[in-house]
Amino acid sequence: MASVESGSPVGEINKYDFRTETTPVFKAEKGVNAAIVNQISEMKNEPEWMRQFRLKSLEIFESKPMPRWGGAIDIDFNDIYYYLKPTNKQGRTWDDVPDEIKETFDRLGIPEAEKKYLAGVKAQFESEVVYGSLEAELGKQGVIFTDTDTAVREHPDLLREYFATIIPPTDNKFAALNSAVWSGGSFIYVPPGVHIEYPLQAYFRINAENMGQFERTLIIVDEGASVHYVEGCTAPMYSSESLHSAVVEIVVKKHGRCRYTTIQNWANNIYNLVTKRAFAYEGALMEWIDGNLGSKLTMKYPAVYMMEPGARGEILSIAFSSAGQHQDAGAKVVHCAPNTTSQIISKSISKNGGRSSYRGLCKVLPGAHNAKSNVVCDALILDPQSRSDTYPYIEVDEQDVSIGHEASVSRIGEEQMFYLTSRGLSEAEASTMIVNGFIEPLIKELPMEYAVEMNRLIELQMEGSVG
Amino acid sequence: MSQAIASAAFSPAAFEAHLASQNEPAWLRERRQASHAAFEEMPMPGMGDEEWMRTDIRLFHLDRYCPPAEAPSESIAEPLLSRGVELGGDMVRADGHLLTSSLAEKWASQGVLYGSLRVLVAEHGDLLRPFFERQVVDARYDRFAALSDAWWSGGTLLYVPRGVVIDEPLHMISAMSDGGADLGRTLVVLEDGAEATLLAETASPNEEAGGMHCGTVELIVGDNAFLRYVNLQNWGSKAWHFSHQKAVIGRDARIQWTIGALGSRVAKVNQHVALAGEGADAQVNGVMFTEGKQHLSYHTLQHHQAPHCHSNLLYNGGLQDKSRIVWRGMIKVDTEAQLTDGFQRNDSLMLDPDARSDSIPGLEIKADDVRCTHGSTAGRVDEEMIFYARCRGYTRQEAIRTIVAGFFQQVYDRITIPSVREALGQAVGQRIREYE
Repeated sequence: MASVESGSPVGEINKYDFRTETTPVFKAEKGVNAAIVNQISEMKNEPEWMRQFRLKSLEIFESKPMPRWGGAIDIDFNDIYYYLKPTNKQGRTWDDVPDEIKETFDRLGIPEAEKKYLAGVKAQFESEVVYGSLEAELGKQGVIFTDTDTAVREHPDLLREYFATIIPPTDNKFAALNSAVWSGGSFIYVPPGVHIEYPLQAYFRINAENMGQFERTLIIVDEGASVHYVEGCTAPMYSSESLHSAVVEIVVKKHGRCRYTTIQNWANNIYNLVTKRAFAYEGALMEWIDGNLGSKLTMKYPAVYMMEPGARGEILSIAFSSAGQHQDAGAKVVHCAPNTTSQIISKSISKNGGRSSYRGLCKVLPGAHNAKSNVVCDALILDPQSRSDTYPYIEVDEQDVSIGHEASVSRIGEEQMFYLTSRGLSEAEASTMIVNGFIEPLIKELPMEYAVEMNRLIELQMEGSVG
Repeated sequence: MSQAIASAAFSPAAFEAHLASQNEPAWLRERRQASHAAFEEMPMPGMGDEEWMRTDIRLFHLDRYCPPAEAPSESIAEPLLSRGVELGGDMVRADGHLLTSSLAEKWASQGVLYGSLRVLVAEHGDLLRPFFERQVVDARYDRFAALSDAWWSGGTLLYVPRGVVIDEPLHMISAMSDGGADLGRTLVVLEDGAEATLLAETASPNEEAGGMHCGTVELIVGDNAFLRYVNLQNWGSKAWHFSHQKAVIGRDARIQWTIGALGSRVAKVNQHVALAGEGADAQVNGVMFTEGKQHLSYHTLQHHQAPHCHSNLLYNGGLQDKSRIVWRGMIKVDTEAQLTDGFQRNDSLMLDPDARSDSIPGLEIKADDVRCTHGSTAGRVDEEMIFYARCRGYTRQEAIRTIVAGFFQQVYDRITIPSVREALGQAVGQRIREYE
C-alpha cells in the first residue's frame, strides 16, 4: 500500500489527464446532424437500410425532450465528436502510459496483457493467440461472436431480425442518439442447445471499436442455449469524451439462459447514460449483474421483460458513489406472462458527498397471474455529506400475484466498528471489511479474477475514508 | 345550469363578487387576490407531471362547478365517527357553508376556538394572521392549491391555547350536495403543550353523488403538543376530490393522523408531515378501500427536518372491481436530521383481477446517522388461509370477509379511538363483496 500517496482513492487517480498523440484518418466534425450521420454510415460502408435507420433515429433524437427526472445532465450535444476512426490498429505504446495509471493497474493486480489493453496499447496485446483458439472452438459450434459493425456486413439477415426490436430508437432520447451514431459493440449469437462454459469477455476481442462511446450490443441466445457475457472491467477506463451512451439488446429464447455482467468504472467526468433491456421467453432466465463505480452521472436501469410463461429475471445492482458522483442506477422487471418470477437486489454505498439512487420498476401486466417478484434495496451511507435515495415503482395490474419490496438505509454500525477495532483492526480496515461484506452478494457472482479485482478496488475506494 | 353561467364560475368577475361577500381583513383579501392571479396563470396539471401521470383528470371540467351561494337544503347524512362519543364540540358544514357549530363552555372559557374559519378569522384576525402567513401548504404548489387559497369559503378552525388539554374529541362533518362544490379549508393550531382530537368526515347525499371538493388542511402542532386527527373521506362515487394536507410538528410534539379513503371517483391527495422540531413524532395511518371504477391517488411525504425525529407510516389498501389505487410515499431526511428513525409501509390486497395498484415508496436521505426503512407488498387473499378458516367451519365467503377485515386490523390496532376503529371497520365491511 505504499506506492500511492495516502488519501488518493481511485476516484482521484481518474482525473489524470490521459492524452495520446494519434492522428485519426477520419474525424467527424463536432456535433451531430444529418451530414455527420451520413458520413459515419458511408465510412462504415453500411447498407442503405442502416443509413435510413440512423437518419430516422436522428430525427427522433432531435424531437425528444431531455428527461426531467434522474440526475442533472449538462451536456452540449454540439461539443462532442460522434465518430473517430483511429489511424490503424496501432495506438499508443506502453511507455506513453502515465506512471500513476500503471501503479493503479499494479495495485489492482491486473495481468500485464490486460493492462496494456486497458491502456489502449492494442498492438502488443498478448491475448491474440488465446482469442484465436477460442474463436475457432466457438465457431465450430456455430457461435457468432464479433463486433456489431462486422455483423452488419457478415450476418445481415440475422442481425436485422432483432436489431432495434428490443429497444427501438423511440424508446428514449439517448437510445435515439445511440441509434443515430452507434459504432462498435458486440454481436453474439448462440445456436440452440449450445452452452458456452467460460464467460465471453468484451475485451478479449481484438477490435479497435469495441469499447466505443456509442457501442451497440446485441445478444441472441437461441432455445436451450446459455452464455455469460462480461463487459467492462474493474480498472479505471479513460475517455476524453464526456458522454457514453450505449444500447444493449438481449433476446433469450425458450429455456435459454443469459447472464450479463458489467463493472462500470468510467472516469469521473463522464456521463454514462445507457439503455439495457432483455426479452426472456418461455422458461428462460436472464440475469443482469451490474456494478457502477465510476462516471460523473450514471443513469442505467437494466430491464427484463418476461414475455412468456415461466420466464425468470434476476438483477443484482451495486452502486458506489464518491465525491462529485451521482449513481442513478436501478432495475426494471416487467411481468407480461403468467408464472413469471423476478428478483432485484440492489446495494448502494455513498461516501465523500456522493449520491446513490436506486430507481426501479416492478410491473405486472393484466393476465400475468401468479407472478412473483421480490425487491430488496440496501443502502450504506458513510458520512454526513453523502446522500442516498430510493425510488421503487411498483405497478400491479393483476390479482393473483405476490410482490414484495423492502429497503433500508443505514450507516456503519457503531457496534460492528467497535467489535472489529477491539480485535486490532484500524478504523479504515474495519470499515473496508464491513463494506466488502455488504457487497458480498455481488462479489460471489463475479468470475474469480473479477472478484479479486473488485475487492481490491473497494479497498482503494475506501482509502482515506475513516468511518 | 346554463353554460354561460357555468363557464363564468371561477372567473375574475365572479372572484371579485366572492371577495366582496366575504367581509375579511385586508391582508387576507390581498392574499386571496394574489392566489387568484396565480390560479389564472397556472396550467391544469396533466399526464406529463410526475404526480399526475397516473391520474387522468381530462374528464374533469372545473367550469361545471360553481362556488355555491348558499347552503343546500338537503338533509345531512348520519355521521359515522361520532357514534357513542361524548363530544367536546361539533360542527356541520354543507357545500362549505356553516350550518351549526357548538363548543362546550368549559373549553370555550379556556380560550379554545372552534367553528367556521370564515367567521373566526373576521373576529380574531390578528391572532390567526401569523398562522396563515406560515403558508404551511404552499399555495403555488399546483393549480388546485392556488384555487383553494383564493376561493376557500366557510372552513373549519380549531385553535387551542398554550397548555390547554381537551380530553373530549371534537367532530365535524362536511356535506356536499350532488353536483355541488366544496371549497372548505381546515386550520388546526395547537399552541405549545396543548392537546386535542379532531374527527373530520365527509358526506354526500347518496352513494352515487357527484361534486367537487378542492380543499386544504393545515395542522400546526406546537412544541410538546399532541394532536390526533382523523379524516374520513367518504364522498359519493362520482365526486372529484383534490386536497393538499400538511402538518408541521414542533419540538417533542406528536401527531397521530389517520386517513380513511373510501369515497370519490377520482381523489388526488397530498398528505405531508414536516417534522420540524427536534424529537417530533408522527404516526400516519391510512385505510383505503375501493370498488367500481374508483381511482384514488395519495401522495405522502414524511419530511425529517430536525434531529431525533420519528415517523411511522402504514397505508393498507384493498382493491375491488376495476378500481385503482396509487400510493406514492417519500421519506426525506435533511442533512441536519441526524438520528432519524423513519418507516413507511404500503400493503395492497388485490381482490379482483381487473384492479390495479401502483405503489411507489421512496427515500431521499442526506444525513448519515439514520435508520430508514420501507416496505411494500401486493398480493391476493391467501388460499391457505381460506382453507384453514373453512376447516374450522367458515364458508368460503365468511372466510374471505374475515381475512379482508383482518388485513386492515393492523391499521386499526394503531388507532387509539374506539369509535374511529369501529366506523372504519364498518364502512369497509359494508363494501366487501361476496366473493365466491
